[in-house]
Amino acid sequence: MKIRLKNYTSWLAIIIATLITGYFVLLITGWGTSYSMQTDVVSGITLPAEDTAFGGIFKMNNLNDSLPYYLYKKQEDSLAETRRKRDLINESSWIAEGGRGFGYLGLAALPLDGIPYPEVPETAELKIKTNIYYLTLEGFTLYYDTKFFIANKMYNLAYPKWDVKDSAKKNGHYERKQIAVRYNSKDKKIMIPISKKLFDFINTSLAILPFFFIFASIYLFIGLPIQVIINISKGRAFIPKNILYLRLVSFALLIIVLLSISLPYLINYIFRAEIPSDFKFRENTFNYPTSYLSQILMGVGLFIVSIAFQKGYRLQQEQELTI
Amino acid sequence: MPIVVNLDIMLARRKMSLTELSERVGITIANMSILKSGKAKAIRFSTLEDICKILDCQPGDLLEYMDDKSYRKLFHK
Repeated sequence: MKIRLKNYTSWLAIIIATLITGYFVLLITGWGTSYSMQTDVVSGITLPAEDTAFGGIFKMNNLNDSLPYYLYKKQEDSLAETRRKRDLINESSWIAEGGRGFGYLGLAALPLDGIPYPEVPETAELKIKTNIYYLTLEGFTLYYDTKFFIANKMYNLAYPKWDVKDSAKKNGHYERKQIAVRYNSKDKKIMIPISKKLFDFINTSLAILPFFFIFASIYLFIGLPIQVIINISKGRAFIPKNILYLRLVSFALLIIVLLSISLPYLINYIFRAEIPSDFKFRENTFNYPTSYLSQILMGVGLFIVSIAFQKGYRLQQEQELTI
Repeated sequence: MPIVVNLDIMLARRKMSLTELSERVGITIANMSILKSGKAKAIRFSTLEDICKILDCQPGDLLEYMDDKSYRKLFHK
């Protein structure tokens, strides 16, 4: 039996069904996920003998064992405290002001090398120095063995350079390079320095934007469905307004999903000059669309219902004009 | 729609008003107006039977097929 698909919507439906099926097949078979551990290769990286170029991130505590216990303990605690503060600065997770976020995008302001805010006692002479303002982008991780640190008021990366690399082992040493962005290793955010003017502008916009989205969401996802239900209860189910409202809601859902998935990649593309290649964005990329599966299904379902309502409207029109 | 309803011609021949016909057939004057003006999408056989009975005519006297050109000429002149 020959099957002919003259209608272009039939072809479109087949293509969409094939793409969705292919996506789930790839997801189930595990293609597209990445693994950061190589379990069958032994790697050794020689740590630098002199750590001054790496901001002290590799420095080992070399304490004098012959000291009396209380002095030894005092030195050990002091070194531990220094290391903790240095790690806090390098981690860049504490915020002095701002810290507003809107999904993937955010803002932060923190001093380059000041003492973190929660650490400052009230009577301390040392105060938080001038803040640097940042635009933050979420979802970035560093490649294995690469470390971010701040030294001499510059942002740096310590990355492994492999000297010997074969199938069984690889040996290397650390090298340093300067980068233009700061990295929050705790929250996995890249922080791009921006001017205070831009920070204030984005801050104000991000303060207003949620209200706009709340009102729009209330209108689209509560107001319009209620209006459809009211119309149906009045015996006016198959009217053009109901078809329009159902389509608005379905398109809004699908557009939100599309923007949520694509916007981070678009923003990354805009800032591609600032983001070093040492950062990887969103491992397991294929998993992200699945978190929106219920919204996708709801959006598609509502669109199908609107098509049914449109058919119902046509039938009703014919019925009304049948004498 | 190329099917033309010549109800007004038959009403004139039988010297009957639309109101009288609608009352005798049992259809509202609004629906009868829709039929007369050519806006109707379909007509039931039962309705056609009633109209033919009352106007004493054949379905062919009421319904006429026109090609698209003639139809456009008739309604858009």
